[in-house]
Amino acid sequence: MKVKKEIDELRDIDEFLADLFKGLPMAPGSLYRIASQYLVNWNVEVDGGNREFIKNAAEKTYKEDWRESGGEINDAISKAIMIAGLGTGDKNLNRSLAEMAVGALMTLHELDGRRKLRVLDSGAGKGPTTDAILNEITRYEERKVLRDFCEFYLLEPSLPRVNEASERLSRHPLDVRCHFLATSHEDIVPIFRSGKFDLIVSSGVYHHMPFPDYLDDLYEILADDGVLIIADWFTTIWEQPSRIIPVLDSFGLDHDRIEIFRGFFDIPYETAAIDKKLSPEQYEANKAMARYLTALGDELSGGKESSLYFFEAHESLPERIEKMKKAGFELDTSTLSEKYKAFVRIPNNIKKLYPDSDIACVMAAGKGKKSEKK
Amino acid sequence: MVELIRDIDKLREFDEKLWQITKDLPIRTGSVFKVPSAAYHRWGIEKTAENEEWLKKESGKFYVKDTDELLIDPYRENMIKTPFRVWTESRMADEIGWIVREFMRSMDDGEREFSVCDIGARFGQTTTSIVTSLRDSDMDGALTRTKFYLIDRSAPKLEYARRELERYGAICSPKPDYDEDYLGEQPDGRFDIIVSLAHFHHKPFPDYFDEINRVLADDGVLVVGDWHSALWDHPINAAKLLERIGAGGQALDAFREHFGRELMLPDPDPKLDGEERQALEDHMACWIEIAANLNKISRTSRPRVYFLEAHETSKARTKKLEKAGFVVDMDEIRKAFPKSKLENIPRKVLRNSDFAVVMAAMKRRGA
Repeated sequence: MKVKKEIDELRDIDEFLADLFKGLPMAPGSLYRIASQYLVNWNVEVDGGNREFIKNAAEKTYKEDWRESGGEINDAISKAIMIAGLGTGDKNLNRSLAEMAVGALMTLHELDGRRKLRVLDSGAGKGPTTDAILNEITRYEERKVLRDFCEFYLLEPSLPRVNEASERLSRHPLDVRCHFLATSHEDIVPIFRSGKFDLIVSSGVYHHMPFPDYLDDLYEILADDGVLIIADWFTTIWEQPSRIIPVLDSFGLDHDRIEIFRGFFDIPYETAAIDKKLSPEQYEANKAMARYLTALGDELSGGKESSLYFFEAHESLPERIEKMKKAGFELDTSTLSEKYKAFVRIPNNIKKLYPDSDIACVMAAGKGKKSEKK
Repeated sequence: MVELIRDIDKLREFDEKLWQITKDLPIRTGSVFKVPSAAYHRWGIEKTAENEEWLKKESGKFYVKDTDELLIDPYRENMIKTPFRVWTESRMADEIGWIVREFMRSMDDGEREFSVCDIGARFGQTTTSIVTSLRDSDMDGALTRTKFYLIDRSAPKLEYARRELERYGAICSPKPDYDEDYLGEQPDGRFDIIVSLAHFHHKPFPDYFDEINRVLADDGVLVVGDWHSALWDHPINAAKLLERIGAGGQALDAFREHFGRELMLPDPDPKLDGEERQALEDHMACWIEIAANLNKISRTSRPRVYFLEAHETSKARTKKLEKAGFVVDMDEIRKAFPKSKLENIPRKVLRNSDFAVVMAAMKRRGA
């Protein structure tokens, strides 16, 4: 099958998908919302000529998504998460993240008792991540000293969410300085250039980023001895078009249209060879994600056509780690514990939420050398 | 002097009339017997040796009746879940997880098998908080020796909980039952740890805590997160709430008339401190938000939501626990659990407010 890269061809794919998804409980959004490295499996080649188009297509629908979400859709999402057995995952990711974050902050404070510690919460939403960090600080007397040395910057493009975050955090018993930046992170890089932040945290955000450029931004604004902690969801369900067939089937896509989908993307019937590359943990992660999507489809079907988009930029945990390394971050546990002072209290910098699955993970990274990139 | 009602037939009549008054409002009073029994006299009810059993039964019956609708589809509960409630509840669950882990640190000898009971477990939020708190720490070994008993009336909710807990590798046993019935069947000292989140404010009578005390092991602990406020201490607060949800003059007048002028006089000595007054505001704000949500739904399809409950201030709860044989004093508790880092307990999760509080208690020893 011919690889597609002309912009007109790329548009045709999205049109094909929009048509295919007609009447299904979710809309596709755009194929270009998936992790860019996977597009090749969908017969799309990313090159200099179409990169901007692909990026914009993804960004546009992600922004629509974020604006639209609320009310009934949120209820459907939370129920589906529950059915998939992942109901408290978000919260527990934040908790694990917070433990690492406070460990890093305490160490940095001990190394220099006068240092102002700036924390960036990227994609802060309604503030649960910062909230979790503040809780973790409040638990022990010895940590409360951090209140006088830490400043939190919450970065969140959606204004209603910023308002809710601000309202919440203003009720927190730990009266800490919080700044709210109602914008996206590419806008703040020029302002906070050169190692402005001692700690950057982010929870459940970067699986909306098809390209890894954001990591360069984070690298730029992180202090040399600072710590980056990312909590996120990891699956490879969109890596291969074959993997979403069971989901489409559960959405009610009939056999004929599934065959059309198969033909369009040249999907083989025998996928064992492709899938055998998955580790058991990745396989489990995909299973949970499929359960979630199926449940979400059930919840949304019957109602009016929903504006919720199907494709997401999930990727595998090893791929994310590789991208982070490429952007200059250090994630090797023994290197971090030997050479990175801020990691004294973070003995295990890669923590999976569920023992047998890759689906939810928190990882802390230091700022390494960027040599590889050049 | 107001004449209090004690006769069972009259009590029944008194309650039925109250139901009628608010039946057209987005949120309704429900049964008056659900307010804290300690406040009954302010609501015109006299608790006597003759009517106490009946009152107890009635208060429980109405709690069950009120929640039945929510049991049909656990997601109807979403309608009464405001962001503020979800957030404070999840914060309290977090704190319970952390406090339980700290207690277990002292209780554990490397071999002990723990029985943890989660009363009013719902979707398992509290138990998963304990599980992940243990797993993320040096206490992860104890997790494999711990069995979690989740008690809730709703089997579907427990099913969600079980599914998730198993993903975390926790050993759990869901018990879809009434908490009183389940606890009543348990032998003395059955559980090492009892936790509960946002549940005990459905218990108007203090002897509920005697039963909790009985099933707790001698060296066991109780960790409770709940909403606390003095909202139901006095019908005048309920009238204020009705006014603030936009109840028309007619309903409001009828409510005031129902209790009579004397009962509707302000308490000359409410004895609330700043945090308790803030809690009262927070509590009212919750109901106002719920009423606003329900107002958006057409009258025929919205669930019936009743607001009278048995919340009490955290001080009043502390006294109740002490009376039931618990020690709540943290200095004493710290001495009994020397390896635990138990700081900032009770934990008030909202600044300067008594509304959302997590407290810990142990069984009084050598009594």
